[in-house]
Amino acid sequence: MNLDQRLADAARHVAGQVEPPEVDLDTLRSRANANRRVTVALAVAAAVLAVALAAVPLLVAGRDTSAPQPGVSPRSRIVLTLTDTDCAAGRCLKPRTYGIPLGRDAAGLLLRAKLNVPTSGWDGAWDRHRISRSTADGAVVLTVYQPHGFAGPEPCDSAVMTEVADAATMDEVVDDLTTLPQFTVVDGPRALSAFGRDTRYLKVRADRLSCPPVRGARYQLADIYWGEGAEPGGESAIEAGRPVLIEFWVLEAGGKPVVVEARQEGSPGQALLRQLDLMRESLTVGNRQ
Amino acid sequence: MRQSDEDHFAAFVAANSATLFRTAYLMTGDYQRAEDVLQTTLVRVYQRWPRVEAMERPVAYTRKVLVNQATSWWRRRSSHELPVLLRDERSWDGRVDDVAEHERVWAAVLSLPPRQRAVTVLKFYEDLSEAEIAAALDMAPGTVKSHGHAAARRLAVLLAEPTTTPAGPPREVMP
Repeated sequence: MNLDQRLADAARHVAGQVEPPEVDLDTLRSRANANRRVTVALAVAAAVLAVALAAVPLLVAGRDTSAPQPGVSPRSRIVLTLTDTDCAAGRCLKPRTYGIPLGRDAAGLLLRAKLNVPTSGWDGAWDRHRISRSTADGAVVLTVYQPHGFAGPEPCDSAVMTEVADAATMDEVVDDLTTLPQFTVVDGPRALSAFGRDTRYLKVRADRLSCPPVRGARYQLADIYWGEGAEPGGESAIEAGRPVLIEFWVLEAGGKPVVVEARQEGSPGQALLRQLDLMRESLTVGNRQ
Repeated sequence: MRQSDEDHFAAFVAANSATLFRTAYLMTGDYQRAEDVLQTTLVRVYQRWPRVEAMERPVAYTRKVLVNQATSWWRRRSSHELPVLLRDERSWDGRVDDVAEHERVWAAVLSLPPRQRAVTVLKFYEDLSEAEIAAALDMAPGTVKSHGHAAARRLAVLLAEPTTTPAGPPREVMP
């Protein structure tokens, strides 16, 4: 009997051993109503505080309230977030601006990258952080993320990754990237200005990534924060078997490290590489409005 | 809430609470905790019931809340967990006793890290596809696949199961 069958049998057996409790609907309603009362009380308190704060400027005599206020931006264009729902058929991104959620900064504010996809036909399938395009001979991939871990001593096993500290500095992240198993640093690391920020840049190369002969094994480059919250759940992973060249830019946004990963697998051709550069050069990182 | 909504919620609970409880039990390994997870989940669903009922699959949303509750508890507990010791106990005639075997297998599952355990439960008990598991755990399907493989590798070691080797050459690179 194989492992899948053993697991299915064991799950059914263990689940069948327990008698589910009776659900008391009255208890559920009581708890729900109690939660609602707390929510209403908090909302009232917040509203009172907001009114009080709004009144403060009116109490300041002689203030010119008609002057333009700093920090107020014009109405921004709608930015689509790379989604996991409408691109399942592949190659469906349009030439426009897309947003990439990067979790939260040290103050708890939402972080987001924005970039311009230059032409039609790019993939954002099933991912929120990665845009890619492939040919018969290779692929280019642009991934932007807040890292939670990097490939460890067993780089094809996502269970044993090297964890990135919550408030890791750019240089600490660079240290992790310079020691990625199977990769050799071919440029950098060095300070470089990019995306309107100070960054650390390095380029790494692997002539042929390899993984143990286990079904589905891939090189687990990074474990990444997945969405708007603080939980990991995404990844940057690479199929083994081809040469890989990666350029990394590591930057700091709101006290959190952010990695821009521009990857070339095999021989995708100069035209795709130029488009990858265009897309990467359009990138900005900041708090979500 | 209108009476018709109350009735529909009661019917939903009657139809799904047993399976949801068993999922919570398989994920936590603890009856009392599974009961708490189920009740907290149903309270949250009750508070949003008209919107949840209007969804295409109310049970998928409910499962997502449940899994989130279970894994939150799990993370808080994980630093206190002890490694599970597994022994290959065999019955007198040399065959592994079925009940002991199932419990041994599940003890190994309970020793997995939270996300690997969640993927295993949803795959082998709820029989969900990778896309459905990804939706329930709010992670990328590729990550579900990675956790599934990592769990299989770990369980193969714990349960002395040979790993699978590919029949052909490496697959094409698919970014």
